[in-house]
Amino acid sequence: MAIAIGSSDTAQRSNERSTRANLDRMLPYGLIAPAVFVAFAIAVVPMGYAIWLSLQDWYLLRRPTPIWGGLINYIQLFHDASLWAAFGRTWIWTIGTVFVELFLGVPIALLFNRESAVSRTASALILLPWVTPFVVLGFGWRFLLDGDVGPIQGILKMLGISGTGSVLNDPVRALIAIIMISGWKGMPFMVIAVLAALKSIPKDIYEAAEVDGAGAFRRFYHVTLPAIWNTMLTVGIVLGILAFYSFDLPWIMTRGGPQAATTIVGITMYKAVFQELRPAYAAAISVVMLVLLFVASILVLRLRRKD
Amino acid sequence: MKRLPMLRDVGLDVLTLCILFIVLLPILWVVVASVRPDSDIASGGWIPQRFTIQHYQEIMAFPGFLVALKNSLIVGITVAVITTTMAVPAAYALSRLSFRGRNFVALVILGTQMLPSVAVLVPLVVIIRQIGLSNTLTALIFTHLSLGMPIAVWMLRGYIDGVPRELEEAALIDGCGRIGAMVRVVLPLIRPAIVAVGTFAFVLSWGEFILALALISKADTKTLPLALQGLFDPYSFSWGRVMAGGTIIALPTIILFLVFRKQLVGGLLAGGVKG
Amino acid sequence: MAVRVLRLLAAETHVVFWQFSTRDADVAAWKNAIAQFEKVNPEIKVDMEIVPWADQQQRLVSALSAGGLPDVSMLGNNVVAQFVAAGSLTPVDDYFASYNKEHGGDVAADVWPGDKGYYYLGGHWWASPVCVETRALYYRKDLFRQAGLDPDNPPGTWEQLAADADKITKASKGTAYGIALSASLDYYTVQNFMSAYLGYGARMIGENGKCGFNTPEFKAALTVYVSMYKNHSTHPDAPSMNGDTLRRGFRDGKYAMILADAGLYGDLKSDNAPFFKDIGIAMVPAGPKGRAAFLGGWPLVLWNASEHKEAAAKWIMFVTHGDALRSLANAANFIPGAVSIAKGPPWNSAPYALFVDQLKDARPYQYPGEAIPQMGQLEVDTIQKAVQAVALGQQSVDAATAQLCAAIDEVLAR
Repeated sequence: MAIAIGSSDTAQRSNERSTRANLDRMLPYGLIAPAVFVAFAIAVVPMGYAIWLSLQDWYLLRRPTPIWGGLINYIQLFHDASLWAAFGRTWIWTIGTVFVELFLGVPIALLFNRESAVSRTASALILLPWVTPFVVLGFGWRFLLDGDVGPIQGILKMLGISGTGSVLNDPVRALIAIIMISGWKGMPFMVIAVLAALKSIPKDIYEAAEVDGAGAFRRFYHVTLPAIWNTMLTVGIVLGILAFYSFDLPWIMTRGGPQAATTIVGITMYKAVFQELRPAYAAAISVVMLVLLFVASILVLRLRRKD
Repeated sequence: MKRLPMLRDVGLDVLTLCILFIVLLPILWVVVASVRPDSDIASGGWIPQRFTIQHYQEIMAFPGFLVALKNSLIVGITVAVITTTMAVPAAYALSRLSFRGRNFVALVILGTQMLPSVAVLVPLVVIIRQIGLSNTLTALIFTHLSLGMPIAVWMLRGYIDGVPRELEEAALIDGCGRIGAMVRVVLPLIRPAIVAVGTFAFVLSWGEFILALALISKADTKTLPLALQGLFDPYSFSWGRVMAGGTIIALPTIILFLVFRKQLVGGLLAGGVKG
Repeated sequence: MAVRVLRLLAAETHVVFWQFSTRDADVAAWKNAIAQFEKVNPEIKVDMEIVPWADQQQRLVSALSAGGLPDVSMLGNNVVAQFVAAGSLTPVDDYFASYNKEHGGDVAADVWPGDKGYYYLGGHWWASPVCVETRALYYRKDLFRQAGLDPDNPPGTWEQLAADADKITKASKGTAYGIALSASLDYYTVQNFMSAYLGYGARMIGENGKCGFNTPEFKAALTVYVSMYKNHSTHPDAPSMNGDTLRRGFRDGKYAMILADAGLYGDLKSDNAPFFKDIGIAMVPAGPKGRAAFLGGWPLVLWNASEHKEAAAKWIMFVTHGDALRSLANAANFIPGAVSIAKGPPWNSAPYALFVDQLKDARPYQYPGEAIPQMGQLEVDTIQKAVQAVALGQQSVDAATAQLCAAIDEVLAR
């Protein structure tokens, strides 16, 4: 955008300046407009609908159309012990998943952050768990954990972690197992996100630190970590939100069992809508979850590093 | 002296391969299973002895599978391109420009991500039916855009935050406008991030099932996850076929990413900043 | 030329039909049936959309809330009551009556007795059956012999079943399990277990309209069923395996017995399994109060939202009766939902004959009551949770039964 050096007329110059000032003021709104439009268009109306629906009384088996219910769903929600249990499990699931993703993803990103052909190809292949459909992975892992012939089950048995049956038979171990699998599946995205951040650290900063006598760990702590901290946090939140509403993985691997040990909120809501035919109740659940997730995200965002 | 760094490189390469192998073991099992006959998969032990391409043949012969593949590619690539195109300016604005409501807008954008698909489903379907766009890829593209947009904006904003402002100051002084600065200075530096975000949008769209199921029922507009569901017959289930289906679904993304992997490497600041 | 133009201008009625099977043979068979129908009814076009089984509930409920229901669809037999309660189906009594007038006979009388409990609700017929299915006991005669059991004397009661399974497991020394029994939350578990609890005389809904399971009969059935897991007669992962895996395992020779549908016989044949000649099929074991077999199957239903009810009903009645049903059932390999047709060839020879015979004992889950709308929901995992809890030792039979009844009552009370 070339700055027009026009005539020396002051009036024209100040006109240009105020036009430019106006344009400058409008610029941010223009830049964010498309994204905001898209995000809102598909979200605002459904959000409104969800709130409206949550205030209706609609049990498809009793009434084909909803009638006004006020806070009836929220009161029911409040008393629903199995829902709060699922809710508690979902937080464990979400935090566990994100931790596994960080724990696996960051070191792998550090390892793959090199120039060789091997690391470049590895960075592409690492995507595989993330892009393979849940349904296929679910069956694959079930086989690996099979009590009879599963190879991983064999290893777990040797380590004493598993008994005669698959880990999926035990409530606590089943939850841990699928948290691991869920984290493993999301880890590739953490890897490429962190890699992207690592690639923006100029090499000479490392060299300067080395010259200053800093060892590998101090280089990591003082150079690398600050640079990737915000990425870790943001991607952690993103993956956390995705994990929070997980449905496919626990459903395919354990159907929410044994008993309700792996029933997380995603499963509860799916059942509420499609099997129990209580869409209003499910809407109330999603409104409550939305608020809680929002609050949690804001709290986590406070941990961001400001430069 | 030269040998030590080379040894270190080779050693790290080997380590990379080992870690890759361990991490991808379950995937390897899926791919190997897809070329074994069904009876071998469950009871034949780990080392395959018999091979068959029967499962892949069955899938390719499956009516509509190739159409579904094409549809998923169209939707995925369009979503990835549009998402990044819209998200970059928005992320730039949120990162660099100060304006009224900046933080509020950022938070609300993130908030739109926090509604589950199940809650969004019904009103979305109603609206799309009203405008007459049921069973179209257009409706699906638009819906998927909103899946990845908030996350794309947030992530790119984070990366842009990490680019030192001095670089743009220099460009602005030189006579570039804001947009010029964005395009010529910031964009090349965050290229890996753009690739990452584009990949994210693509993968999210590629594997999306619930919304696709609700919006599309005609065979010629089905996407891959829908087509894959057809492989699950309750009465004659074939593990091999499911594994083959999964491999076919995973493969295009990997191929696309392999093609773009050089982009992931770019973006190194040449010449440094300080000083 | 003018005639052709006139024909084009004549309005064609389009009937949208959701079909749930994705198998090639089935799809071809349906296409054939549609072609036959359209020949006889040239002004009606049937548009078949393939909606896989796994997705049907999701698609239907979404369409219920957001619009987009078809004119006709297949429907799982035990969710018919659910959609009737939601007011979204149209009764088909009138169409039965006009069909009777036109073709003579009584279509309602040709419905399997168990199906009446699923499709005749509140004094009206709501569906026209297409297919029925039941599970029988497949057993390996060679493994029976190996365990010292008489291969021509398969177990006739649940207790005998448990005893035989135990013997076979021990005799096989780790090469095979006695029975492919499921104790997981999968549908397969309750499809097998229902024969036990009905055979012992347990009732899902009691006299007072509440849960009727809290009885010694139910507990006895639960005990004998779970005993097979506790005795290690089945796979140690049974509490978390799904039906497909067990079925696959039987085909691979890992189990001596399995309760399965008629289709398994065809699968075993095409597998060319070495033990195929040793396969025997017997009726599902009986309990002290008699034999009760699983009743599967699906009908065609007419949706209230349809704007072409007459045309849709014509299609329904055409394909669920007469030659159309016969050729459809033959090509797609299922047992027809009309008794008269099922009694004829090829279903009067092996292996179908036994299944057809057993259909007289096939009952719905809530026998002897009428189907309840909540059954679809309850079939998902309510009863299975009790079985799984006892199998894993997490609850005693009494505690599990009490919890089961509490869960059922809670659902019924909504």
